[in-house]
Amino acid sequence: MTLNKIKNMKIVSNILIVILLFISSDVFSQRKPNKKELEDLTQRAMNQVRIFQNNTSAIALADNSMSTRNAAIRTTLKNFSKEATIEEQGLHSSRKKRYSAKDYLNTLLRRGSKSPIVVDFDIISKLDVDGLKEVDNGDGTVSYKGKVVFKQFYCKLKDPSRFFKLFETSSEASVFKTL
Amino acid sequence: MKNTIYFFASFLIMTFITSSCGAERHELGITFVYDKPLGENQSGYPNYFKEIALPFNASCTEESKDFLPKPINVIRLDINKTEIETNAWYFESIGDNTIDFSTTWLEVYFKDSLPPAYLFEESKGIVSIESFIEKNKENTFIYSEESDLEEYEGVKVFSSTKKIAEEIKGKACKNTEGKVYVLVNPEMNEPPPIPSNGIASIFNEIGDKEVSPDIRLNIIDDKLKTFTEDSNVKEFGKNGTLVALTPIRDYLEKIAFYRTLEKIEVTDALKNPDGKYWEVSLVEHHLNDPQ
Repeated sequence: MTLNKIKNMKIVSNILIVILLFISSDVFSQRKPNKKELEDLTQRAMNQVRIFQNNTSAIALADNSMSTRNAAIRTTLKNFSKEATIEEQGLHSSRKKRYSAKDYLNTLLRRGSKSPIVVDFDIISKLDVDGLKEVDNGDGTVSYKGKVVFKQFYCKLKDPSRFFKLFETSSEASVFKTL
Repeated sequence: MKNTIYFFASFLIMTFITSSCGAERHELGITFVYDKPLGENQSGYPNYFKEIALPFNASCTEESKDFLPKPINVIRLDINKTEIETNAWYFESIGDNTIDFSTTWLEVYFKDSLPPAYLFEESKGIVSIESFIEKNKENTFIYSEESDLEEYEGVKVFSSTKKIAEEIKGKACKNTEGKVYVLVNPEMNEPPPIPSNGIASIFNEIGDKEVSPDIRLNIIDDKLKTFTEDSNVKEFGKNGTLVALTPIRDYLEKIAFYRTLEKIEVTDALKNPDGKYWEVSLVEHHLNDPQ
């Protein structure tokens, strides 16, 4: 399912998702990373977002076996810190619901099992090394915080012959930490 | 009379010198271990018996010692795991068992005798040699005429009888158990051969965006045979800096869901003597990556 195809479908609702990705690295020891190291870590952070996108699609897609969908959850959770949250909001609603990453992915699994769902993404704003903010953790470690914004297109198939629901979502934030 | 006294005195001195120069004699049992019957075409003892199970002299810390391969046993792990002693030392009571004397008689025995019928009996089941190795790792050697492995489950693999005999000799002084095991042509779970286009093809096959994750996940267990259990993947960024260290299984499961991978470039791969990789360094290239 390509993004363009999904975009052409009727948008019924829109959900905002805020994702906090904590990508820790022990590459640095008591020193600040240099520009090249930050560039590489930024690229990896983008890859973490990509993993989230790829795996979310695999979790929702009922065509995949349950063991594959569970493996996708397991793999995705390894990219999150325990404190990471995902917030969901409907397009026409001010009501937000916050999940732990694990709960959100399991919710998606259940939704996908009830009726087929196709999820796709469009990155609006990439993580850029110049846009990173340094955060002193006060324990001799430094974190770098950045922001990625992307839309999530969420299509729920009521009738197997057509998609009836498309949610447009966006997300933000990527944080990685250096020791 | 005086000459007679000189003669006997000289004889006694010579006898004393000869006996004091003689090396201390020790028994070092050798057990040949099998996980299947000897081949039907094998009538007598295989040649490796008379090339491995022979007496030798070794220089230990402060003295040289003679080691006699006694007893010489065989075990069939696929039958009952009971050691059976061969009759190779039938001659021991007919002379002084010096190295030369024993070597001569053992060579004759292995040339002219028949192995125990036990070695030809039909197999009673599939057996794993790994548990045997685990219990006897310290004093076990593997003799394999076909494998290219240098090591298996932490035990050295030899394809040359001369080299295995040297290894047994080299470790004889420190052998406190008084015996060694020689696993003969065992079935070994060898890692699959590395594809002709290298280790990178394993990663690129699992990361192939054109194949469904279902299929890619299913081949991971097979591909893991190429790696040690605690193998890690070092991920490097485009600038060559290390960005992550990930256990091999976690890494393969991660890339099995990739949908944007162009290729994985392996920059370094370190492997053990058994041919399994314990660390791989690589760089991922994705579609739409910044250049």
